[in-house]
Amino acid sequence: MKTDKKKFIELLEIHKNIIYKIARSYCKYESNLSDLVQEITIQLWHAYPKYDERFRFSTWLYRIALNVSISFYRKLKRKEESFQPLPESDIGITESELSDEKSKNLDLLQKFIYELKELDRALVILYLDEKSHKDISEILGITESNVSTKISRIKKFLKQKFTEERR
Amino acid sequence: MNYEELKNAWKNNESHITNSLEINSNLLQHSLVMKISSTFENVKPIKKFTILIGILWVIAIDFFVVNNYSNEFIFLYGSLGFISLINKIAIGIYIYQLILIDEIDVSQSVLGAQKKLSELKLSTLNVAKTLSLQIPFFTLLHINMTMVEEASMLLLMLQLIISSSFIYLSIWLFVNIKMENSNKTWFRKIFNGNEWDELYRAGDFLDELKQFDGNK
Repeated sequence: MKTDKKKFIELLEIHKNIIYKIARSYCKYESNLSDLVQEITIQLWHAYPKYDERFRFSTWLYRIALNVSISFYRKLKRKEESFQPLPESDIGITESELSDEKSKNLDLLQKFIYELKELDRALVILYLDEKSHKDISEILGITESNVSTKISRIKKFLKQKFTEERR
Repeated sequence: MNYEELKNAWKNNESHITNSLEINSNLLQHSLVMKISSTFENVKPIKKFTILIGILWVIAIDFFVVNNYSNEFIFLYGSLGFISLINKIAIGIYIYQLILIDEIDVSQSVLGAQKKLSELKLSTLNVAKTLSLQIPFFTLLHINMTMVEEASMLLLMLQLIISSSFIYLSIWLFVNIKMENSNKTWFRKIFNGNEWDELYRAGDFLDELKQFDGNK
């Protein structure tokens, strides 16, 4: 069990950015972000004994992180308007945020992603993470042709949003 | 902004996160021994509470029936027996739902897991359907054998009409309590209030999931 925990924490260390990116895309406020990251971590740990090592850890992790995030988001959707102070988190940003042009684009991108519905949001995260259509279809549970159709629709949406923003 | 720029912005985010995120090992160790978190279990407390109330209710009915039964009041005790039975079935459905909540596999595909979660929330309607079957029995509680033997034809006819109406109502409710009717006025009036909001949201989300799956 101790070895499992050590190995799990090592895997978490390698994939921490996936957890954070997904959680960030489903949380409007920092206060909820730490709760969601913690919940994903706990759910991963509880599901870890059933993880089949023949399959990629990242695919397994994407599924759990997205499932937890979507459910968490739906639960908090109506409560998220109120601001709460940021509690200490298991995984947290320790440096100041970027403040250049790239960061501005990133902020806009995250804002537009947040405007998407929960499932489209999951799809765009996987697309931006450069997952193949096959991987996306396995993680989300839809056909590859469906993935292609939806990605082109979301790309159009994002392009339109950026164009409107620049006007 | 073109798609390459989008991806670059996202990658920029990734390298920033990778450099600046650190795992707080002590807190993580603590988290891993915590009781499983509640997002998938947020419906559990209310279900457990309902089960508890339900169990107390059927125990009270059964206790009353067993200790007071007499043939003179066969309609009363018979009806209470059926009411208790229907409530036991409803409690069984609730318990089954709790088991299903525990069995949700979060590592399955996003659509698969989310569909199961939504369907699970919607299955609360099955309890309402089941409980609707007890309605006509409440119209028989006041009848005793003396009344049956001595009542006028008019009174018996009146009783028959009332009980038949409630039998019709309960069967109609049993058949029509389903999410397809959730936008109808009568449905919204019956299932009204905060406790049912979760059900409507689950219904809407299930539609979204089906649309997403159906490439629409």
